Amino acid sequence: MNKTVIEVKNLNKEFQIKQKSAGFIGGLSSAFSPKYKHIKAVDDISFTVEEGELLAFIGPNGAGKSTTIKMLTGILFPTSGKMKVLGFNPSEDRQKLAYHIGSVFGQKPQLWYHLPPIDTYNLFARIYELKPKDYKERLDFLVEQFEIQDLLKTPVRKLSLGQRMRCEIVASLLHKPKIIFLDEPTIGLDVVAKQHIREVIKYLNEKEKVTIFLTSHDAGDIETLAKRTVVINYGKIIFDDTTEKLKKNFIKSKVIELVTEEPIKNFDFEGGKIISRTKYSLKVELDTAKNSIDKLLTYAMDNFAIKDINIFDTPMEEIIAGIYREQKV
Amino acid sequence: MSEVKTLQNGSGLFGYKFLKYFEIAKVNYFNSSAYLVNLISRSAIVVIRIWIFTQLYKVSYSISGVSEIGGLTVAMVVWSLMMTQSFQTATRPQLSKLIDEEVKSGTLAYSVNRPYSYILFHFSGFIGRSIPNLFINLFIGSLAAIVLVGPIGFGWKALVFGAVLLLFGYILDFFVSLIIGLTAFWVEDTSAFTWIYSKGQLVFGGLILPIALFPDYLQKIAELLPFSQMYYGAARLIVHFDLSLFLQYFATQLIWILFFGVVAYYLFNKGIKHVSVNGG
Repeated sequence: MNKTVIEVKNLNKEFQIKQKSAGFIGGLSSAFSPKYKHIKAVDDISFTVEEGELLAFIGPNGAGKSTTIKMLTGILFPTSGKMKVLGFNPSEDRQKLAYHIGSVFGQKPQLWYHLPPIDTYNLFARIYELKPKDYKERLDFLVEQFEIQDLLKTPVRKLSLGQRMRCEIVASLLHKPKIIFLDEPTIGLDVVAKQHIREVIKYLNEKEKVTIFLTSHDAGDIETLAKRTVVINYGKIIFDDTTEKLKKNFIKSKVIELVTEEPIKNFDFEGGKIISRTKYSLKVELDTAKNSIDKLLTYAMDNFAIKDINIFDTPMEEIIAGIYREQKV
Repeated sequence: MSEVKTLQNGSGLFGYKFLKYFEIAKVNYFNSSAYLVNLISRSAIVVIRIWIFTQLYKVSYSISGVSEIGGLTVAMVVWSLMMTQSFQTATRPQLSKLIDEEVKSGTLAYSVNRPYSYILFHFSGFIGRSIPNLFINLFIGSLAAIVLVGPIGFGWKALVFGAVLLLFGYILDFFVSLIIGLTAFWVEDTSAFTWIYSKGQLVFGGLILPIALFPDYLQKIAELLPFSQMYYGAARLIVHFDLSLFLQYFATQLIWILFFGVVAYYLFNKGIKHVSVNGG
């Protein structure tokens, strides 16, 4: 039986946000009698994560995903509740825990902007107190796996977002963490870069047996990576089960946009519902339980002069609406 | 592949612990000196100020009809101002602004959750960033001072004791700047505090007027304030060495460092529980 590496019980985090009315008078009155809005960013959540698990922790913007990660890594202090990460209390043992975990916050850089990644790696080797021989072996290994040999000596500001993200992840893995927290690692990336990052995450989990705690609001990340998914909304956990179950029940459709050379006259495909159309384009919502994307694409190529195709995942809001609908039933 | 072993916090060798702060200073040094043209152009401001001060003090001294005020000649005043300006501008960008930005942008998430002391991390960065600026400022500033007022002689004692005061002056400036930056844990914008602090440095820090030229009563007050103990003390000692003055300045520095160090440590430990990282 696997060991529990993350244990969260009745965790809460409340923020006080100062409210300010518009204009000079509003600003003056809020200075003398400040009014605060209390926000429950995380509302009484409990869950556990087993060693070697790849858990997707998903939800729309502002749902409480990042706040949860920041509490688990010791950056934020919870308002109440208990948590243990690798046996440490992150609020009390932040520095001790830091030797054993890694984190990547997709929207925030940790690499030095004007310097090449190798400078940041050398710095991290010292910060995590790695022995030179171990560091060299580890770096060589990661450079090869992440295919960043050509990027090592290029200043970070010259890297593309996808290249930078690969280098960011390497920075978080140098000290061989037992758990890695990935907060929106694919945000803003193009399809190819996303795929590359997903492969890397999969590799880490399967080959290196690293426990991965992944947050994302991209349904594609979850579908391809995680066996288990936790959905959080307004700070509350509304779903905690297998990704298979989530897909079967709530990620039932994909939106496919077809752009054609000539006007589309007759579109008739089982499971495909037209949701919008212009003279030269068509947006189709495909029920993936009834038909596959492959078949729809074959049908489109056979019947229309296709100029461009775009495939969109089910928006997170729709997945959440589906979960709420089921809970009400 | 062999297991990468990390030394646990508290059980590591002192060498390992020390080396991480050295490396942080080194990376900051390289990051700060990445663009030589920027570095040199930043020093140009020191030259412009020195030129203005030279004109101002030459006129003031000639109107007064004296060659020395408070024991300082025009050349000593200009060299002293060149040094205080060089020492202080070397710390740019201001640490308080960097911490404020760290809290606002959310990159605090990275700087807090690493196995090091947050305060020492910023101190190493502060020193690493300041070194290349300091040397370029002093080099260009000295050339300007030689051209404008000619060289002045200072002995090894003045340089060594001045360097000690400068090092402790940097530590003092670091703690005050850190405290201002840490207020970002509570207030939305720290720029007002930074503005007050820099104006305090300007008036009482010997950046535009050496404290030796102040009236006696004001000089005594200014010498007790932390502003004068950051960069003026070192500059004053280098242009006109006086051992008793060194001891007086050094003792004042130590008291302020101890005071602000304790306040900074307390504020960090209190503030970290209060932090709300922006952007989730």
